[in-house]
Amino acid sequence: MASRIANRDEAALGVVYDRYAGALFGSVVRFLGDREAAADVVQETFLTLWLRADTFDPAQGTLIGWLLTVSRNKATDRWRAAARRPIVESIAADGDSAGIDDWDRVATVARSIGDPDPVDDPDRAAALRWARAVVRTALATMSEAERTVLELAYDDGLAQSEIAVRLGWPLGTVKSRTRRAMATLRGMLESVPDLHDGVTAGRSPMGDTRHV
Amino acid sequence: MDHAEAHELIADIALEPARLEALATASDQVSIAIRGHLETCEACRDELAALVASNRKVRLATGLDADDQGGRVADLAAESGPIAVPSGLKASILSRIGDEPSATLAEVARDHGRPAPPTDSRPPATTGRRPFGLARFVVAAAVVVVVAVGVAFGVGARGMASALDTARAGSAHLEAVAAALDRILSTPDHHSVVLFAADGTPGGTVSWSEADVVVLASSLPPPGPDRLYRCWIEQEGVRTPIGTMSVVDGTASWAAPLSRYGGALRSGNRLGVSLVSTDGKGDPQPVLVADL
Repeated sequence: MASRIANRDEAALGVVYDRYAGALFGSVVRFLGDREAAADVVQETFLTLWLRADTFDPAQGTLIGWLLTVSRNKATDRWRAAARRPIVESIAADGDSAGIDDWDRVATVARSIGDPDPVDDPDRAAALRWARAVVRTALATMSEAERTVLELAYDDGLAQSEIAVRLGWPLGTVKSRTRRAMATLRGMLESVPDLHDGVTAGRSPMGDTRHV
Repeated sequence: MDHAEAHELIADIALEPARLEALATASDQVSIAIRGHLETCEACRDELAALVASNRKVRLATGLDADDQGGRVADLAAESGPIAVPSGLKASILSRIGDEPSATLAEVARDHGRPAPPTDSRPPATTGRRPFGLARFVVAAAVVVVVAVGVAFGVGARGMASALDTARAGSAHLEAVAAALDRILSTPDHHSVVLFAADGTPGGTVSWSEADVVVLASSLPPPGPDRLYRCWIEQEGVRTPIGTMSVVDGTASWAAPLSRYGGALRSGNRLGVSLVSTDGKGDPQPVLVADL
């Protein structure tokens, strides 16, 4: 599909939009908390796809992972800009450093939802906030059955055979639903940087694996 | 254990997060056999590493990783209702890709004395290269990016695009800037941050990827005689000049390899533009600032 878009196939772009716009928009809305800004980010993401589809390499990851990575970077830039804009005005006005009132505000919100303090580690805070947004969006797009097997696997640590017994489903059904749910999660989680690698990971989530 | 068997077992284990996490240390025969296979199979090692990384991201997102006292997938699921995509978004996107880039590419081709490509032209499938040349395309891409970033912040986008559009003709400098911008765009994890004037008005952009950095501004007045616009990076309160902007028909721009500045373009630092005297006298006046 990406190769068709690279060849300026608008219909292909429409198909990709129909397939992934919900995941993109849901993730960005949950990250930014602003529908209008999220719509702008999704629009910019599809424009980037239109211009840069030839750089997508399916051997390096999924298209939804690529699209979400583009969206994440655009959304993160906006998130930072929104949090810091008043500080910039102050800097520009008096040529001196300003306080961190707005970061304090962001930090308070972040702590309230369990994020790390963005003042201490803004890259990691943004990455974790994005991870949470992506996982929530992935869960929202799954069927009830897929969510159920995921919850039992992650929250209760059950094996597939145990889930089958718990739910009274055939083992094959449990496996196929878990496989489908995890494929959705993993594709979308390609856009989440390696959270064990601090600033570098936040800046270049796919730099090690995806040179496009 | 051969590769096919190991691959199948890893796929099964991947369905059980707890077992996946324990694979490295588990003492059962299957885990031991898989570990033995991993020692000689890079493909399976990579696959397993990706699965474990994905698993950990889920746990981090739910808060399970910190101290096992955090939330659960079920908690995230419970608070994750459907979110409707704006009804007009698709039409807006298709409208923009149908009109804006084509018009710009046609103008670029015309400006360089070549016939505009037909609207239905297709690049050769074997190369993916546009038929009218990279330089022309990257200038067009630069315009689109400037517009996109400008529109995102609501101010100055059309003016910025127009200025860049006008300035590009015959400007080798601007084409070099556009080429750098194109390289930046070619990575999905590139960044663009808006430069703000003292009154909070967006006045330009800083864009960068792993290899390049580009600063563009269309809101700056002519610097006047014996003055110039200088870009700087501020780290821990210390400003370091990094380059002088060229002003072409109202568009100030500067581009450079990012490698010159190491890790300076990172969160917590600032990049700005100051109006400085060529003789070094007087205090530099910051005119645009961006928090990175």
